[in-house]
Amino acid sequence: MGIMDKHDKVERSATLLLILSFIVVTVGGLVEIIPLFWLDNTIEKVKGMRPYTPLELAGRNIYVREGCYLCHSQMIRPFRDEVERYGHYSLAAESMYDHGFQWGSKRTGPDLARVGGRYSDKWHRQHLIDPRSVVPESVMPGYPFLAKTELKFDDISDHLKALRMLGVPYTDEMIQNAKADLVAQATGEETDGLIKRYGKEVFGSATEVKARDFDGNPKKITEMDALIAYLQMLGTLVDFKTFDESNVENLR
Amino acid sequence: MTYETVANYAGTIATVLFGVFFVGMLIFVFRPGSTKIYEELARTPLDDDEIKD
Amino acid sequence: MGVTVRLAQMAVLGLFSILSIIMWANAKDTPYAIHAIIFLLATVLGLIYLARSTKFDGASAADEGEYMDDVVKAGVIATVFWGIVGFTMGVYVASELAFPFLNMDFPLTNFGRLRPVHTSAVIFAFGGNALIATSFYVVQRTNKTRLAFGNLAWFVFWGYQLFIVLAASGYVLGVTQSREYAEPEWYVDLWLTVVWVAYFLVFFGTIVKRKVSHIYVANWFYLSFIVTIAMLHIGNNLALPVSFFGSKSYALLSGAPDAITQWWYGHNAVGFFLTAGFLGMMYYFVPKRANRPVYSYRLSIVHFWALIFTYIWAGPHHLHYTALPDWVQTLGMVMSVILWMPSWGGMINGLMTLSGAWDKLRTDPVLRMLVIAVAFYGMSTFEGPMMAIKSVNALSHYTDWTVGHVHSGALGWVGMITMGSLYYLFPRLWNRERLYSYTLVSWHFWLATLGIVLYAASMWVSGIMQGLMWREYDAQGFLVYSFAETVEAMHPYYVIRALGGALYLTGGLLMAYNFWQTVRGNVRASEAALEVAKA
Repeated sequence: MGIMDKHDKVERSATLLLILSFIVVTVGGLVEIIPLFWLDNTIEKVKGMRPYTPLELAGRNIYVREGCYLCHSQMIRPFRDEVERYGHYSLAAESMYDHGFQWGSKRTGPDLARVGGRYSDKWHRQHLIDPRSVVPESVMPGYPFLAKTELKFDDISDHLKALRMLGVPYTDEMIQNAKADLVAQATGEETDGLIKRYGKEVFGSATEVKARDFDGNPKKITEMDALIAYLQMLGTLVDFKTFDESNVENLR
Repeated sequence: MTYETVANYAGTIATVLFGVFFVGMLIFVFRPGSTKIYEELARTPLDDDEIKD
Repeated sequence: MGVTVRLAQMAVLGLFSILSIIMWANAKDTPYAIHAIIFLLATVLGLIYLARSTKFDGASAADEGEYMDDVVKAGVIATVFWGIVGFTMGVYVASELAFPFLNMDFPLTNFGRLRPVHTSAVIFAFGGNALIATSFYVVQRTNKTRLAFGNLAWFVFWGYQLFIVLAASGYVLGVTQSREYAEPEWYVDLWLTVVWVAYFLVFFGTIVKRKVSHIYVANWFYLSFIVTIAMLHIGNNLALPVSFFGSKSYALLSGAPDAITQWWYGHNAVGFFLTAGFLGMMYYFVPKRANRPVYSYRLSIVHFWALIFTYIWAGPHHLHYTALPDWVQTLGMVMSVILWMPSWGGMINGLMTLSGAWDKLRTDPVLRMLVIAVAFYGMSTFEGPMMAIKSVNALSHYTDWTVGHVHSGALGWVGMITMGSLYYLFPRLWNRERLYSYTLVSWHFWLATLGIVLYAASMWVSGIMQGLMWREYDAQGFLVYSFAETVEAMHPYYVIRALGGALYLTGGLLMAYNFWQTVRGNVRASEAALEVAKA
């Protein structure tokens, strides 16, 4: 048989085997991944998305550090029950600035894609410190240490710079004022600059940047401040009045 | 032919095509008359464990 | 080993030591500093060893005439050690879900930080060491030649252990990229890349200098695993560090393209790390233990090409109904369903290798373990394509069903084929007549099997039940259950799952004890007496 005779060569040449198997394993990835960067319908055209504020970004990094994504998804599927339980199904546009996406793969706890604004800061605080004191059935670990740990943000502008290099539209002004913006948002004081840079007027977001003392402890800026600030903005940006589901470009 | 109809049928068609392809491969594999060399190769792990000089 | 080569090796290690001192001195965060110190210690230990063992009188060990088995011995010991660590961590995190007080609300012990320790310990530490050790064993024997590049194989072994220590200590300290099964941060990824290139050189170099004409099929599987993992590892870990002296980095890609890249990696970590590599193991150890040739060598060739081609496409089934474009999801689903065929081709080839030797299953518990591994492989590779169908996935995704599926593959296929191979290897590597006890192997077999059954069954029930509860409506058209109620309903199954894991761990401990006694050269008294009686 012809094919097998030819294959015989592969069985006797290590290099040929190496090259052929490498080509064979590359095909699938190339076909599925590369077009995503070129096709128009990968990311919908919607209004409202803005980069994370410095405090939200710091909170997001804590979310990553503690492995929250292992039990909480941030990806609502277009099913009736999910939309009723969690809100409008997730759009690709909503994670376009998520370097390190947080869609998750398991819901040991509920989806968090639109948890922003659903509960009060106080509820989040209590829930993070002792989950079962507010949700008796919960199996979530407690995070009391977040409220006690001061947030480290000396290098926060470096984080913005790194993300800008990856394509997140942080401006020079945002990077220069990163620390001041973080303090303003975590205290709720002198927030004019923060609003000027990240506000709903600038990006057409559905809700305004939330700035206040999130952890109820005005004496210091803690990791709890940052994490709650992040949770409270999740899914609150896109103005769904501007999203046209039937537009061909948004079909998926 | 819209994008949707193509997407709907492409999956089914591809599954059937590949299915036929694999059945063909199985027939090819199990057709009688395996070459001697393959019978020998299949015994490779059973060879003596000594190194060749 | 020539003195010049030794000096060059010491120079490289010396450079790494200097690098780690610079990293330590400039470290911007504590975990990074700790990692720099660990790295420094490792390189200094390496230097001391190289200096002490160098023979400056020019005498080089002319041991080309025998296989390099010491590194394999170290590898199988590491496999057993990390296996026990990984199983223990698994039982612990499973218990945390059943009894949340076990989290102790302390950063180092919370589920979110320990879960990656469990997954990395079993996949990369247990599975990875098993793959490296057995590939070194198999590549030498099937090519009738000693490992290539002298003591580079030892660098692979110790470099890989260092990777494991850096990864695991990073997780508990909160250093993670949040990419499942690729959590280590950028500098640990770079280190693994160095080790992996060395691994490739040793393995490929050994094939190149083979003393036989044909390359045996087990080596193809191992080779494709090494090459593909290199590709996936680099592709998925492209990231920009915030500072070269800090642990945090941001992924190059974002959102949907980042998600598909991660699951292109994630699914093929299963496909190539946990499947192709272990199929290499199957194609050597099953024929060897059964003392039968491979059922169909021609099938193994088709199996190889079909499997490695198809697997790569299956990643998108992890992202059904998400914001990933629909055409990618459909393509991923179709290719996942197709994957069922090459997978079963491999399973048939493994099982049918026993034709003419089925009776051995009754008498040889080691062979029984290898065979049930292949059976579990067949089961998981049927379940997987089914779960990749979009309408099934709509129910199963985000639930414990996925967790159960992974474990029937991991505990059943990967674990059993590894432990069966270890039972084969230990007496041979240490030149012992036989294992300490076959009765203990039987106990291990049944404990592990029962453990898997409890695990998989409880996760089926909990997964399907929770999926149905989430979508249940009452007559008025309202959702019946709050999320919290569905969590409460999971409790009994989480307890059963932890119990299943504990059984599996117990089996692993029996195995470790059996090996300890085997290496010491003991034979269990009652079994020794039986052998005497038979003789």
